Amino acid sequence: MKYIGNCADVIDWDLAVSRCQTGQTLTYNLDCFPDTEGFKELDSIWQQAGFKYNDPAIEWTNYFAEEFGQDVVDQFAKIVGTTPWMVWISKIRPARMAPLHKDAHSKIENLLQLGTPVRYTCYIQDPTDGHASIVDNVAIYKAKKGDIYEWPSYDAWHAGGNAGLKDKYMFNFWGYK
Amino acid sequence: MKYIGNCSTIDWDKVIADCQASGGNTNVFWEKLPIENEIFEMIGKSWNDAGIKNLDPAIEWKTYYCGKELDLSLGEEFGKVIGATPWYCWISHIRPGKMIPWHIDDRPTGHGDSEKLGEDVRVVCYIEPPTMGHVSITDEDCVYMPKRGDMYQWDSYSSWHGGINMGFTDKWQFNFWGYRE
Repeated sequence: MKYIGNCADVIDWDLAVSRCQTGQTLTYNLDCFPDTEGFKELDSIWQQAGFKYNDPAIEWTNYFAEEFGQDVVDQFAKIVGTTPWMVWISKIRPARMAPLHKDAHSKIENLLQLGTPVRYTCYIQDPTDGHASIVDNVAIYKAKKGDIYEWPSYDAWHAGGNAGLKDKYMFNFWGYK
Repeated sequence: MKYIGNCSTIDWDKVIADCQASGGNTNVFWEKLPIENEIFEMIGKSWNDAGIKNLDPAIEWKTYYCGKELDLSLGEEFGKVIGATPWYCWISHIRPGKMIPWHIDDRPTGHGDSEKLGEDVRVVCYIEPPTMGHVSITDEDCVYMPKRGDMYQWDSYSSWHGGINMGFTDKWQFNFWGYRE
């Protein structure tokens, strides 16, 4: 992961998070993944690891620009000099996790045709006990609010877990140059 | 927490195999307080206040104790490596998709009082090869994919900590609680 910089003085992340009210909560079940080869493979890996459908530990919620604001997307895109393709804020509650996985989007070919794909994560909360994010062999823990990291690859293995006592929020930006 | 070196003299594969053969002790977020004490009460309340319910299936870890499932000699051998006398040593094990949320450990009863014997020493040794998805957090530090045998000494035996297994294989670590005179 490559540290890009900090955007806390440009984007009001507290406001963005406060706007995240409804979202789409995902759990692990037969229908949670799009029907792609990549996700079929992931499902098989998770089953082999012992994860069961409807495992209560596996849960996250996604919020999109309709809730937190297109202005946030536009500001961030300008900061990283990248055209946005899919952007969302993810939330993990205490004692929940999104285990290791790759995001095999059903329309990923579209992204690859548009340009060089790139993925960023922005840590949008104050450093919080128990909030862990992993991308490949790197863990990010207690990043400063507004810290931006570029992924080594747009489709890297990653995971997020909340062993803390407050909700864990993260900004995810998938785009192209 | 500080890195204090690597312990490669112990056959950690054998230690893990001994744990697996013994079955160990499964721990969950209790339905009722396991013992009446302020630490357990405080931890339980903090978890409930965070929205975590008692018996939440996400919270599970297994323990294997030196002197019970494991031979006392493991603690003694490790103690020689770090120059400390073992007092309470165990292996903790978290399955994929499980975690132990933020907490501190209480002094176990029935083991005397290590504070009177000397300066408390608490060390964690990471006993498996670097494995994606296995995260250990203590105070301000996160240990991820350390080398097998890497040892970290805690600032205090009662440091706040938690562990998460977001990977695909079991997560194992050795916990040494002892003292130096």
